[in-house]
Amino acid sequence: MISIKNILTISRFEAKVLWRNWFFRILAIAGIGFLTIFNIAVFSEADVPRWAFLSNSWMMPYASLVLISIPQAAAVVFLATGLIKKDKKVDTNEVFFVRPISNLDYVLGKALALFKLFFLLNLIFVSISLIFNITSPYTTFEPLTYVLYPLLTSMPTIMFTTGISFLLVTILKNQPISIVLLLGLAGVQLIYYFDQFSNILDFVGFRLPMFTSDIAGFQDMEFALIQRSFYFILGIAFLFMTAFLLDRLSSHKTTKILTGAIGLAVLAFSSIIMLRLWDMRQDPIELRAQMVSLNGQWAEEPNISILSHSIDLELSENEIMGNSAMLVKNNTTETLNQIYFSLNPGLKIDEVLVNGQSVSAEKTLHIVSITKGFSLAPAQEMNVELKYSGTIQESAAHLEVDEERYESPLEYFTFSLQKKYAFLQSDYVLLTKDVMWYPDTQIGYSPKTPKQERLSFIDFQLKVKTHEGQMAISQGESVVKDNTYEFQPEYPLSQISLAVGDYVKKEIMVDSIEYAIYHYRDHDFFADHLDQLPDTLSSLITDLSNEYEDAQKISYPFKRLQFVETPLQFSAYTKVYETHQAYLQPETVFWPEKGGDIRQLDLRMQLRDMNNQAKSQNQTLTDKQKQANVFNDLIKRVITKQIGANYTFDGYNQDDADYSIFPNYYTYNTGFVSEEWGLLNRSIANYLVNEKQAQRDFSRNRNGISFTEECNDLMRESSLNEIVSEAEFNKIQKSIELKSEYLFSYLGQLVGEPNLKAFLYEWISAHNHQLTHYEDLRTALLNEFNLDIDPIIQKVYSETSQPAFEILELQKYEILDGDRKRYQILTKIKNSGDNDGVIEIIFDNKDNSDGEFYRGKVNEETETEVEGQLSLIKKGETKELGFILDEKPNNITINTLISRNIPSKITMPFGTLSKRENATMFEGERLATEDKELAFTEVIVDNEDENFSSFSPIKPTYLKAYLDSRKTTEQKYYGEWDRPYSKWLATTGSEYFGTVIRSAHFTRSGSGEKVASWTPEIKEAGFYDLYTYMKGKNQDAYSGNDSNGKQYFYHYIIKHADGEDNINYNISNAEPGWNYLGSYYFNEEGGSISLTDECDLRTVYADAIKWVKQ
Amino acid sequence: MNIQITGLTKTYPNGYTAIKDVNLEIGSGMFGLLGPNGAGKSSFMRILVTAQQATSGTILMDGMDINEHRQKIRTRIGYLPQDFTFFSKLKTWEFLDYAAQLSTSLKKKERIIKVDQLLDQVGLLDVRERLANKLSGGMKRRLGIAQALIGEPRLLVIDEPTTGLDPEERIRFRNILSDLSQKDVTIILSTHIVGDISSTCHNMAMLNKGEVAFKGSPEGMIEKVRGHVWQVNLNDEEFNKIKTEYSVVSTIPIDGKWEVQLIAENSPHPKATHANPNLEHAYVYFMENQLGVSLV
Repeated sequence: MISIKNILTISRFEAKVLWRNWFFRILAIAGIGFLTIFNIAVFSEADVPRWAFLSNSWMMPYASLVLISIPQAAAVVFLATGLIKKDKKVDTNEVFFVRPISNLDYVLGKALALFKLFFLLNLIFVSISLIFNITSPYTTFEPLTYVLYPLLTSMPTIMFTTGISFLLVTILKNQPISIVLLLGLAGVQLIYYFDQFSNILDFVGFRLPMFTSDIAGFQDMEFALIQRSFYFILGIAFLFMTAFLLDRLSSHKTTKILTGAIGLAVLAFSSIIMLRLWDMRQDPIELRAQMVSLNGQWAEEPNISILSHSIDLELSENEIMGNSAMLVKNNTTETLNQIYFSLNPGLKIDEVLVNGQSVSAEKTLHIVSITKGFSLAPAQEMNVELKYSGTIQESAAHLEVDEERYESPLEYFTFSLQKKYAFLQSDYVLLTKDVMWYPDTQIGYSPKTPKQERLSFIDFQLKVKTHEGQMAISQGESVVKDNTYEFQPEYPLSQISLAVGDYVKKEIMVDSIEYAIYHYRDHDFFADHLDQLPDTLSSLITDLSNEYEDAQKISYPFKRLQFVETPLQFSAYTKVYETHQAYLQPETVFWPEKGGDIRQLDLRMQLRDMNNQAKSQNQTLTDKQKQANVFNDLIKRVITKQIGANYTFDGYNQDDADYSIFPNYYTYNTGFVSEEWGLLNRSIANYLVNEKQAQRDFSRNRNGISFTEECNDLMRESSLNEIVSEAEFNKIQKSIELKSEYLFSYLGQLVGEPNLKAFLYEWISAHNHQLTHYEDLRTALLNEFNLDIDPIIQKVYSETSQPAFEILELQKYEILDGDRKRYQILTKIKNSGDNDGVIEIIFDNKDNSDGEFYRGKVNEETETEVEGQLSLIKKGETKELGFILDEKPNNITINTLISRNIPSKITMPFGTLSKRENATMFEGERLATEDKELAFTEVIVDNEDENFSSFSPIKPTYLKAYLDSRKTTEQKYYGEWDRPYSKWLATTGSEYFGTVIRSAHFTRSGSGEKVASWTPEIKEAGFYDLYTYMKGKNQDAYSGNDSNGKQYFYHYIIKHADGEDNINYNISNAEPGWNYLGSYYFNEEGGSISLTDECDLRTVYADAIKWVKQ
Repeated sequence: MNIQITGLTKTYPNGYTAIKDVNLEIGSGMFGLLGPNGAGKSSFMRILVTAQQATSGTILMDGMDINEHRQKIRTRIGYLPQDFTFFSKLKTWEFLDYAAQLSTSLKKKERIIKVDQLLDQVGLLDVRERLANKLSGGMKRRLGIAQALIGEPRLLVIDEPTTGLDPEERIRFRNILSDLSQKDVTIILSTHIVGDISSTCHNMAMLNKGEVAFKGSPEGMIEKVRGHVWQVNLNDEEFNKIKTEYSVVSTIPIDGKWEVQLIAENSPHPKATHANPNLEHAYVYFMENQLGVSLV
């Protein structure tokens, strides 16, 4: 049935034919050219490559093969369908059909030909990588990667694609249709099932996690191997089916039947593999569901608290053997005859001792329950010892994370990384409390009792026996004897973690705190770049720490701060009830392998930028200064967050890694236990954390309104509890943040902002390393301020009504106060909404004209941000606020926190300030009288009003119409990035006119067909001055302000009582706000003003028009 | 090789019957299969070489049923299909070597010698390095015959070998076949060109509309028509009349009159004389006979 000789013969000659095929040659040259350029651009020293591209020794061939995988599959489809099709053009094939070969010889021979060529091509691809790899002075060379990745990526792809192409073209007997179908299939996979189902359907291996860690090696080889084998074997099955269905008489009937039968058998085998894959994906999901449901059963059961916990751990291969000796206490009010612990479902209980007596225990999934051999009265203590052994099931971690987030990829450039929550390998171990590697009395998430209270701070001790040459890292002072590490934390902790591996420690003592970096052997890439720092490091750290503690007003509560390198795959989630991710542990920050993709750890690039920056600013900096700047930038941006990110898309990527050190000041240090207010801890943390926000948020540019406003909208419909249990995670996060900010801003207004903060800081400092009860806090606040916070918390968390603020007046003066120049800002703000509200007013001296939003500077000077001033404006009130400033302000920002306002944060430039001498100044706030009605002599039509209309005769493009038809939600406002071609759309922003909602209509400029019109209701005939509301010079468009001096115009058509005027209005000198348009006679019939879309700028805005009677 | 064909019928899925109940016995030497376009010759040949299957009937080659012993049969046949013009990108010698490797078990050295011998035999040695695609029509045919011969087949099936060849190429091609027929090989040659058969075949059959109209030797076929071929000189009026009543084989204008050869059962004209029949006359005779036109 199979003749190897025939197969080899056919493959040899067909390979020759393919090799001479121009299409193949073009593809091959294109592929080689593309990869060469890619390697030069990304990995070579032609420019400074990113450290993240060089740091991992598995990266180079993998990146090339992954990038080429999709085009390669498409090329195989084209060539394979051409190779097997039967058509008149190669009728000489017929003479080979009557040769003594079997159908299988024929099909396999052709497939082998294709396979050989693409194998060679892939060899060239990886050779390109190899050349760049071995010539790069910064990366390491890992030979295995050059074998492993071609086998795992390209080979199964080629086999599968060849098989399915052969089969389809044999069945359909039509090459073009087959190609269209196959490319469609690939498209469906890429568009609809991208990153779905654990990438089971990813037949090209584009997103299947196969990136390898230099610390922990290839993660989940089993899944990758099985997934790739599935496609390889399926490809083979398809080849057999092709031979079976081939339009050629087989050697014999039985041969044909046998070929078909083997094809079916291989197909069945591949189906079994697929089922196994499905189970591998499904099992963890099911386990999680079961655990969550079990949590629900135990959530309300009273339990003991652990006072001290001594863990003795032995590591063997992929298992641990542990012995936990605990002193527990009954802190409840009833006698306990049942106690329980949580422990990873992969660990089994070997023995349980209560007060030294062996008792039986039952373990269901992760719950160990003990019901016999004791009775524990309230306040009574007893000793419990648990012996356990086994593996760690990672899927038990982060149960509060829903399936979608759990299965979402861990992005690393274009790769998706295997998400790991723990490592337990003979060469590497990383365990955090999230995987329940030691017994605890706190059970995890269940929707019934979503809040996870912290129950206790425990006196831990840990003894770990490691393998030869490995270092163990945990909390507390460590004592090493042979291979045994003993850790003794100096204070009670809420949790401990453990990392074991070939670590090297670098440490420094500064102000009695030990700062240590634990990096993997040979991973000290930073040492060369920061070689000048050692003797100044201590003062750098002191400065950074002082800066942070000044901002936070809490002292670091631990004796050490350790930065531990962890594999790239180590993954964590943002939590609802806590402010930390698993990257932060008590005393510990887990930083990613060789810095991962953290830009600030790309020290070479940072130093280069530092050089460029110094050059462009004509600064002369020593190497030492440069390194110090780079070091400061790293710490301030990543760890202390005293420099905000350059930009963000609020609401996206909520689970991005956060290495902020703040949890060590709050979450791991103290906390409030509250039965009722599960979110209180989070709210307080949120209020106290003093981190710099991103300088720009682009969510409005994308969505039309900011993410805050989206959440405000949601909070008008649902209470916080409803949001927490139902909304999307990013909205939960933001809503909690906003509510927390509002709650404490509100409380601050009631008792005095500085008083409240000082009270809370003092409370925390007095309760380091312990929990306190909410009731105690409540009572203390009541005593101190005579204020019961309980009803306020209740109201804020549950209310849905919101204030709405109208800025009625904004006056600004430069006042000569003797010799001194001072600045008086007066504003009148009305709350016209249906709830009390708090506003925060911030002035800044920032000059926005440098245009450098996008490219961050290394260690840029933090803006001296004046702290915001809060003001409570009750429902229906109008307040006049006065500010006296010593420095000339450029902008005022009014943050309305939770309100109906869009934008919720209004920033307005002051422009030129009018001068006054020796005028009386007012500072503070006072209730204002009813604001005066708009004079009847003034008429304003805004784009939000019904007297505004827009018209467009232009049909959208087919693509746009299709995309619009797919939108499921009604959208009122659109981002400016969504520049409409065929109609006028509304967008929002501080720079537009409006009372509560500041918006304008905008459209892509055109030839004058699209028109926006304002129609006033004129009550009194007469001459009117017309004003149009502008964003500023050339509507702030970049192209108009790039100093080329070109003038731009808007085309207005004014219909007045005397007829119609066409005006080309020069907008190149426009001021932000009202700009004079002209004076015309209007009578009661009204008339109108229209703006066409004719303009040399790319966008035309239609905002508001004002008629002022002369 | 001895081939026995019994009751061979081929009906295509669209209902068209290409071959109807064909019974033939073919021995060694050249066997000609004559018939007009669409007579079923190609279908018949393709069935013979196992390129397709008959709907019913049996073919025994040296006593072996070709459906049961397809693999074995395939080792013994060489086939040159009717259209043999488009090649994948292989050089002339590579194409032949490809065929050689699939049908012989020769070692590389011997195989290359054999390939070159055959190329020499068909006069293509000079162009052995040229891409097969770039060969002229006649060269392609010769390459076709070479690939058919490479496995030293016992049965050679050649479908319409001389279509589109110039006279010189045609003669050359016939000569190659004649040389072959001296060996113990059965050569089945299908053609619609009478001359191809008359000059080479000792045995033949004539297919028309899928049925065997004649089987035997070319001479036997000519004999069948003896006495039915007439020659007569006619004026315009007579010629126009006779043209409609009889099958005219040839007309030569002589001195304002027409010298006409035609097929008729009885004398078509008082001045008509018997003419010496040839295979072409016989072909027309049998075609007409089959059609049942004009012959009384």
